[in-house]
Amino acid sequence: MSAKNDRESSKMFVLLLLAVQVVVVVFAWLLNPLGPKSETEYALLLAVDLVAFALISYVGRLGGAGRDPRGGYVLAGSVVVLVFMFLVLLA
Amino acid sequence: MGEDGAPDQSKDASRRSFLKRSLGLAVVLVIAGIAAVTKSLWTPSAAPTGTFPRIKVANIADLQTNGYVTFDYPLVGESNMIVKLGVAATGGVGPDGDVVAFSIVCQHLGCVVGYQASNSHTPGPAGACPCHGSVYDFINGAKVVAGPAPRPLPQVNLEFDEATGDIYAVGMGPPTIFGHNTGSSDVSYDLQGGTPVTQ
Amino acid sequence: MGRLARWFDARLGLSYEFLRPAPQYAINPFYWLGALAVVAFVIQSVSGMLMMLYYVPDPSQAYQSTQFIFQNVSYGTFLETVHLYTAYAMILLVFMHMMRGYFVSVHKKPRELMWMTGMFMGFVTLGLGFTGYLLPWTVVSKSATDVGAGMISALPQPISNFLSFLVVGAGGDSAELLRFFDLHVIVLPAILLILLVVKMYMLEAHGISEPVTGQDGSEKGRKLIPIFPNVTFYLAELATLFGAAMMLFSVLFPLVLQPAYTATAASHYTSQQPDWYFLWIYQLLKVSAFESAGLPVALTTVTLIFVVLLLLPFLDRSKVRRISQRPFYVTLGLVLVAEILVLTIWGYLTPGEVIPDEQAALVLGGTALAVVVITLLSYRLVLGRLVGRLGTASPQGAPIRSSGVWTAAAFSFLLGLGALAMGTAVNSFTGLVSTGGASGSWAYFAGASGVLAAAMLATAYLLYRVDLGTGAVRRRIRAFEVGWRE
Repeated sequence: MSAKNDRESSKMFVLLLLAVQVVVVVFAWLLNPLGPKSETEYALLLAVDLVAFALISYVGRLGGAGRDPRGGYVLAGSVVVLVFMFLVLLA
Repeated sequence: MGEDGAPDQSKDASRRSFLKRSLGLAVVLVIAGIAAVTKSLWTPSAAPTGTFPRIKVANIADLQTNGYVTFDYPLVGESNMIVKLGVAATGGVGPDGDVVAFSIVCQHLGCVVGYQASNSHTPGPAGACPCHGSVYDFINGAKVVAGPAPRPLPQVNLEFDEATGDIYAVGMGPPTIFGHNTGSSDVSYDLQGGTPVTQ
Repeated sequence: MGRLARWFDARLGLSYEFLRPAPQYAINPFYWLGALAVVAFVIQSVSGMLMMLYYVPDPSQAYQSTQFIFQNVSYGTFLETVHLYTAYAMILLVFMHMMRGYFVSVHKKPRELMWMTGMFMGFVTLGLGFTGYLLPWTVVSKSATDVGAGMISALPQPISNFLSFLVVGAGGDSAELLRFFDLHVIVLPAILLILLVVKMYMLEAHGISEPVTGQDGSEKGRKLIPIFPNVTFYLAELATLFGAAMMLFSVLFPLVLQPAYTATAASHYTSQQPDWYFLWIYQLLKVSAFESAGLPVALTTVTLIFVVLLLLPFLDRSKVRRISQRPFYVTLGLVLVAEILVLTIWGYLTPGEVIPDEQAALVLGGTALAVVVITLLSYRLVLGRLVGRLGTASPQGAPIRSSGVWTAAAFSFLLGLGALAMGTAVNSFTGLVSTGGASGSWAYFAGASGVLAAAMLATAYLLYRVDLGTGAVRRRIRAFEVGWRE
């Protein structure tokens, strides 16, 4: 695949992660702290926020140095984000 | 790699600035997420599920008209006053319905309210705060008749045991005691933040 | 956005070359265990400060205010859970950071004082754990603290007086709790921060230590990376992943507050023991030879372990840093880790039980033996293969020979046997003294002393044979080896 497509897809990836972060932060602030499940939900939302940031930072840091991010890390991070978000819905 | 050719440099520059902005935004969002925990600071704590203690505060035989006794209720260190007014009053107990008790922590700024057998603002006995001049009408549920206090003194719910003459404190009426989510009408906040009194 | 960043940069000096660039090989989680411990400390500070608003450090209200945090304060359980697990993580990280430094030889010149500063920071961290544990005033925590306070009072007199006064104050529960609280929230954190600044300064002055394994020292590995933004964001990634892990733990294992401390409840609680990070010390103290009269001996031994670790830079003075060339110290380090691990797990399996000496000697000696054998064998096998593949001998020192492995095994066996014999001898001797010469104990004592004497003689002989002196013996052994290695 061309370098251009790679750049496009990584840009898409970063934007998606930013969107996830925004959603998560908004929910965290809308949470009623006195709710029965709100502590679990807050912990999970914050965890999503943190991992999404780590992913963006990782992709950005390596991209800036001209290297390719390791697919395994990116995949693992994305899975974690998705699983945690799913857990928030479950809780 | 020759696919992109000349436009490469400007693409790189815009890509780098995109990355910078994204990273900056991501950092801000992380800080915002963590900051959400401070919501615990300005969300009043959940009302506790405890019950008010029931303690004996006086015996009717020991109270003379305009005689009062101070006692702690419902938590240690929180002063209240039980007084025989000599005149039937709202919430009064006893054979004459004139024994009432109120929290004497002023609802304005927390000074200790003193007892006055008569006051120019009230039809009968009053609680008068020396700090800023709030006056509470003890005959009418300690409602504010003068001074800057914004709400009445909380009234202590009393029970009178006719057989023995003992008077028990069994609960608090609204509003909450000064310092307990001040201004709320949920009296369960009165049980927070201290040790309940025991007999 | 860019203009805003530039405005801040011009005033805060964000892009000023404050810290020297890091080499590429330092972009590796093992180099950041200490930094993660600092991140953990920050998490502790934030969660601690939020809880401090509600906690009351007086015995009559400590448990109740803690319960209040759990039940009524919004996010209260979350704060408590995160605070506890991050405390555990911090202690674990500090230990891993120390062991990594040990194996990578950071304690050698010029970083000796960094090592010692770090050791003191480790002590402070343990102190933070110890003081914090008491604050909820539950049966478990008060009992554990009483065990610890008892241990302090069993130390030699002037030290025990000083420490007792510092930690417990004038006496009585109120004074103790207040002292612990003050130590926990201001004194120890302040000391930790000061030591951290000192250590960071030295780090900046010396730079990151050279790698001691593999290809990290190559050209590619040494390429310098600017601290801002690259290294900073790497740290941010590690920190956020660590934070996310703490969140996950607190969700999976939410804390439940233990029952409150009352004197009667405590008297029924028989399996009092300190928290897991002190359990290895406590397990040592449970060995029967160290009961009552032997307690100061045990505590002195534990203190000696810490002192040896502290003074390590002055004990291990050789300039050799590569792991492949330090088999003795690497083995010693692995033995330490293994023993602590074994003692901790064993402590969990035997709450409140006294450990017979023989069993202690067997378990500890056996662990040491196993670790020594495996390590030295690995040196032999791995290094042997490496040397063969690369075709060059390592610059300093030849790989351990097979006879070396057998020697080490023999040493360990003698060590274990000697420990066993010593334990039995001490045990039977105290039995003799206390029972006034019962016949059964005489037999044990004689037998154990005999075995001990034999082990000591054999060790001396082995040392002589392995030769720490004359080259003549070594030459003789080499001839011996040639025959062994076909």
